[in-house]
Amino acid sequence: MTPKRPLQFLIWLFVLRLVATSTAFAEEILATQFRRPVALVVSQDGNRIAIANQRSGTVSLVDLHEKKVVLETAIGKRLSDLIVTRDTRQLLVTDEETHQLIAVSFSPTGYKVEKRLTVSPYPVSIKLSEEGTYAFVASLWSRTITIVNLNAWLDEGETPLPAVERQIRLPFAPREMLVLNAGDQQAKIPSLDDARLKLLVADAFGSRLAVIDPESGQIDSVREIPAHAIRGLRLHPTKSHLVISHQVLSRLAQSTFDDVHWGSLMTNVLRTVELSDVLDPKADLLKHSVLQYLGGPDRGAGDPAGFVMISNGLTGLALSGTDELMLLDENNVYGGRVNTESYPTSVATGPDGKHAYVLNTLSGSVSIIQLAGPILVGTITLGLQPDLTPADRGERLFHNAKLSHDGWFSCSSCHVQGHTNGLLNDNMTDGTFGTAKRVLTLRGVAETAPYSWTGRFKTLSDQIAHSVKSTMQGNPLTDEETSDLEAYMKSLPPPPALGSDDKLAVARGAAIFEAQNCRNCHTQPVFTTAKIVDVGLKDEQGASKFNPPSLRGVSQSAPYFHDGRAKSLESLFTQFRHQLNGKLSSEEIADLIAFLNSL
Amino acid sequence: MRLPPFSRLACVFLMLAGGVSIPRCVSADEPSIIASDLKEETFGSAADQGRLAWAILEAIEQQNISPPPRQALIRVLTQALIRIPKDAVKVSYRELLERVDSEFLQCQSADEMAHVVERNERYLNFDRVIAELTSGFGENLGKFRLIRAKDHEVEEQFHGNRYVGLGINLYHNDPSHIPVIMKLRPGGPAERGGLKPRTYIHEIDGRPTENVPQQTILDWIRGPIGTDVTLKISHETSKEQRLVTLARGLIRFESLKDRHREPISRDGLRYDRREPIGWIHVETINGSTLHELRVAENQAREDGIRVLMLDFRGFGQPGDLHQSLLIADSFLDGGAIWTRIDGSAEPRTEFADRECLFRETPLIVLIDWNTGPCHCAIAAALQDAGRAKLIGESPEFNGNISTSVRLNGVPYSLTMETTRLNRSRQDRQWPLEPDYSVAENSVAQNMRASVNQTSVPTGFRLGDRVILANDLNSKSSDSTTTRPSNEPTRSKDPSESAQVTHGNSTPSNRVTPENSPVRPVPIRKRLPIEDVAILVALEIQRGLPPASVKPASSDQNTQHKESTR
Repeated sequence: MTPKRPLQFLIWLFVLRLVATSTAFAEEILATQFRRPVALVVSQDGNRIAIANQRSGTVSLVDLHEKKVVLETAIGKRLSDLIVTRDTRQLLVTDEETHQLIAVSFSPTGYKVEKRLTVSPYPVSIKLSEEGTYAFVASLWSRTITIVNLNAWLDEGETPLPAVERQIRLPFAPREMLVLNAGDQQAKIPSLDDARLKLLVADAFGSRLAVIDPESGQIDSVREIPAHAIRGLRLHPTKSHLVISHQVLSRLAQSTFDDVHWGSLMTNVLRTVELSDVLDPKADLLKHSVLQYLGGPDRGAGDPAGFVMISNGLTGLALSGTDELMLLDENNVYGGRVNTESYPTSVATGPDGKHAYVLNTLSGSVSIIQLAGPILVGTITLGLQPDLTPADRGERLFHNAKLSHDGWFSCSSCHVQGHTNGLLNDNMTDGTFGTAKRVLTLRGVAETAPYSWTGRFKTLSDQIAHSVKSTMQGNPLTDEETSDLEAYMKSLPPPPALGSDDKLAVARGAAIFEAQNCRNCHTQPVFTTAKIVDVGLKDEQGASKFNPPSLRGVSQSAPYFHDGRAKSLESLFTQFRHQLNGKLSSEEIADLIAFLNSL
Repeated sequence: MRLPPFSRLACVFLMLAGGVSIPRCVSADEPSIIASDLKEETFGSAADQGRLAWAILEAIEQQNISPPPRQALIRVLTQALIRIPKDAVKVSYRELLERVDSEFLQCQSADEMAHVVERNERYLNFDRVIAELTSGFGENLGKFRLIRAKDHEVEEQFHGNRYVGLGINLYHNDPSHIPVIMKLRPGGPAERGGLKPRTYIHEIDGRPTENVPQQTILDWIRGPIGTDVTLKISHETSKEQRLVTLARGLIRFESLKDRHREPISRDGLRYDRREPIGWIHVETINGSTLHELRVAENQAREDGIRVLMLDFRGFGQPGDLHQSLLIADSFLDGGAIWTRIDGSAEPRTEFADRECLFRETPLIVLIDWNTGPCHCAIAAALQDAGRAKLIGESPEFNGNISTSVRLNGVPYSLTMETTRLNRSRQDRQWPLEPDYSVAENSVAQNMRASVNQTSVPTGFRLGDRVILANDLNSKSSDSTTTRPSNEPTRSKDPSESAQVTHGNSTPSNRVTPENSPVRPVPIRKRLPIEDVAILVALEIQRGLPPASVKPASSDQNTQHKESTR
C-alpha cells in the first residue's frame, strides 16, 4: 500500500484546526474525572498531542501552542495504548476492559469511533508494521499477540478478508513491543540472508524477550536476560542495536542498607544489545550487552520507563519512580535530570527534537521539557480530577521510589503493576538473610492473610510497614501512608486466569484437586489458608513451614515454591510431586493443570 | 617478615580507622586498633561475666565452622577462669576444676551460667579468658577473638564503606604523647574545618588526651553521624591553643585504585597509554566495590581496554564475604561461584547470574602470599570458572573465613571462623595456585636469569618492541615464569613466539637477542610480576577478535520516526 501521506496529513491538520477553533473553550467543559493517561503521540507537525486515558476511557487532544486540552472524547472503558495509522487518518486505540482494538477518526465535534474489533483479552499495547498494513496488539493476561490486517479491517474492499489474521500465544505476559523491519535488518546485518519482518516482544513483568515472525506465526526465540520490569524498548537510531530500559534485581544481594545504598540490590539500567544477536535465535543475547547504570549512591533512578532516542544522540528517559526525566548523551553519559509530575511513564519528542513531552500518568498531566538545559518549560493538565481517595493516594505511594532509600526502587519495582517479577529477593521478611524468597503477587492480596512466606505478619499493614522500612530501607511510613497503601493493594483484583478451552479437562482436574486433598492447604474460595504448613521443601536455613500462596491466578505467577525452583505448574507435579498422593498419569496431571489454569 | 593474619588485619585497620593510622605499625603484634585489646575492659559484675561466657559458648556452638564439643569448650573456659587466690586455703585446683566444670556443664541458660560464676566468684577471673580467646582458646579449638560491640559496628561501617569520623590520620605512638594529626582526608570534616597536618590534639570534648590509651582517643573521636566533637588543638608552628568544633561525617574510602594506587578516575585505567591493557588495584572489598567496578567498566570502555588486570596483591586486607560473593558474581557469566559451608546451615553452592562486568574482556588476577581471604576467594572463583588467569605467588588462605558474630545479650562480638569455602571445581583445593607462578622473593636473581635465558631486556617497558627468544609460556621451570601444565604447547619458532610489538613498526625493526638494548633500569620489587602480567596480557590481547563497534550517533532522517510515539 502506498500511503498518500502529504495530502492526508494536510487534511488531518485542517480537521484538527477546525476542531481546535470549534472547541476553544473545551477546558471549561472537560469532565472532572480521573484520567490516568498512559500513551501519547505527537502529530507530525509537532503542534498536537493525542493521549489515551486509562481510567476515564477517553482520548484527549492537546494543543501545544495554546498549551491546553482542546478536545476529550470518551471512546472506551479502560484505554491502554494508542497509535496513529500510517496514513495519519485514524488513531488506533486498545481497550483492556472491553478487549477491543478501536479505530478512531477525527471530526469537528470530537473523536469518532469508526470500528471496534475484539482482540485477545487484555490488550495493552499496539504497534504497526512499517508500511502500516498490520497492527500488532499485545494482550497481557491472555499472553497473545493479535495480528490485525488493517487493510482488511478498515478499508472494507469488495472481498472482505478476515481482520484478525493471526493470534500467537506466548509463554509469558507481553507488554512492550518493537517492530524490526526487514529493510533495516538487511542494511545493518549484510550477512542476514533472509531478512523478514520481525516482532520483538518483552515480558511485562519478568525477564523474557521473544522474537516473532508475524508472517509465519512462528516464535523464533524466547530468551531470558537478567532483567525485569521492562518498560521501554527502542531501536537505536543507527538501527544496529536494541536499547531496553529495565531493572535488575540481584538474587545474591540482601536488603541491607549497604546493598541498597550502593545499588547492589536493585539497579536501574539502559541495556544495549546488538540487533544481530537479537535476530539470531542461537546467539547469546548478552554477548555484546552493554549496561548503562542509571543514578547512583545518594541519588537512585528508580523505575526507568519509556524513553526516546533523538538522532543527535540524546536519550530522554522517564524515571517513573522518582518523577523525573533523565537525559543521557550519545555515550549514555548523564546529562541532567528534570522534575516532572507524578509517575512519568512515556516520553515523546516533536519533529524539531528540541522538546520532550512527558506523560505523567498519576497526576494526569504532560510536562514539556526543553532538552537544551534541560529545563521544564511548561505543564499541561489534562483536566480537573476529584479528590484522591485513600486507594488513589496509595497508588501514588506504591509507584513512588522515594519510599525507598535514595530512590532506588518502588513497591512496583518488584511487584510490577501490583503483580510479581517472578524473581527472588533476599530480605528479612522471613526473619533471615541468605534465604532469598520469590516475590509474591499483590493481586488479590486483600483476602490472603497472613502475609509473607512464613506468615509472619498477621495484617497487610504490618507487612507494608516492614517492607518499606526493612526491604526498601526507607523512612518509616506514617499511619495514613500505610493505610493508603493497604487500601490500594486491597483494591487490586487477582490476576485473571490464563484459562483453559477444555471445560471437561477443567472438571476432571477439579475432581483430582479434591481427591488429592489439595484444598487442605489451598481452601476455596481464595484457595489458601491462614495456616503455616510444612511443605517438605527447605530453605537455606532449614525452614520448611510456609503459608500456602493463594491459587487464584496461579497460572500467571510462575515460577513456583518459595525459591522458584519449579519453573512451571507441570514441573511442580512431575519433577517435585508437590503433595501428591499416589501416582498420577500424565493425563491426570494435564487435567489438574487445566483446572489450576482456570482459577 | 610475615605477620600473622590478625596482625596484618590490625595494620590495615590502623591505616583506616578513624581515619586514624599510625605511621609506624607500633601495634602490629597486638589486636588491631579497630577492635580494642580489651585490656581496660572490666566485663561488669560476676553475673555479667557469666552471661558473657554463656553467649560465647552459644555463638561458638551455633556459628563456628567446626565447633568443638561443649565439654571441651567448657573445660578450656574453666581452666582459663580458675585462679586460686593466695589467701585461699585448702583448695585443690583439681577439685575446683571438676566442680566448676560440672556446674558449667549443667547450665542451660545465661542466667544459670551467671549464677555459677557468682557462686564461684572468688575463684574465677575473667581476664585470662580474653587472653585465651585472643591466642586461640586452646590451640586445637580454633581462632577466636572477642571484640566490643561498638568496634564491631565500626567494622561494619568499613564493610559498608560508610565510616563515620573526622577524616584524620593520627600519630599516637605512646599514650604519654599527645596525638598529632598527620594527614587529613580530602573533603572530610577536619579538612573542611580548616585543620592542617601536624596539629596536636590536646583535648577532645574537654577531656585531656595526655596519658590516654589509643582506643580511648578513638572512642572519643568516633560517634554517630552529624554529632559534634570539640577539639583543643595547636599547630606545631605555634604554641597558641584553640578550640574547634567539627561535626562527625561520612568518610568514604575508594576500594579501587589505579596502578599508582590513586583513585582510578584520575588517569584512567590504562597501564600504559599505548596498550589497551587495564589495571585496577582492588585494595579492599566492601559495600562500594561493586559500584566502583561498574564505574570502572564505563571508564574501561572509554579507554578501549581489551584485557583487564585485577591487582589483588597487598596487605592481606580483610574484606566482607557477602560483598566478595557479589564481586565474584559480578565478574562471572553464570555458573557456580563456590560452595559455602556455614556453621549452622547446610552446605550450599552459590551461583552467579548472567549479568557480567567486563564481559568479553579477559581478566588477569595478580596475587601474592599476602593476598587477603576474600580476595583469594574471588580469585579462586574466577580461576575455576576459567574467567581469569592468576599470576603471582600462592597465598596463605586455607578456605576458612572469619567473621564477627554478635553475642546474644552482651555488648560484645566474637570474631571466629564461621564459613568454609569449597572451590567450585572439586578437583581444586586450597591454597590457591597461580596459573603463572612468579616468585617475588628472589626478584633480582630471577630477573637476571630471565634476561640471560630469554633475552627479555632488563627494565622491559610496555610498548617496547621485544621478541622473546623462547616463548613466554615455555620457559624452563626454574625461570621466573612457569607454564601451566594444562596449556597447549606453543611453537618455539621465535617468529611465532611471544612477540610484543607496538605501534606501526615493521617486523624488520624487531629487537633480537643479539641487538637488544638492555637498558639499566633500577630493579624495583614489584617489577617482575608486573612485567610478566603485561606480557601475558599482551599475549591474550593478540588472540582477541577485533573490537566490536559501539553504536554511533545516527543520521538525521531517523529523527522523525522516533518522535512519533
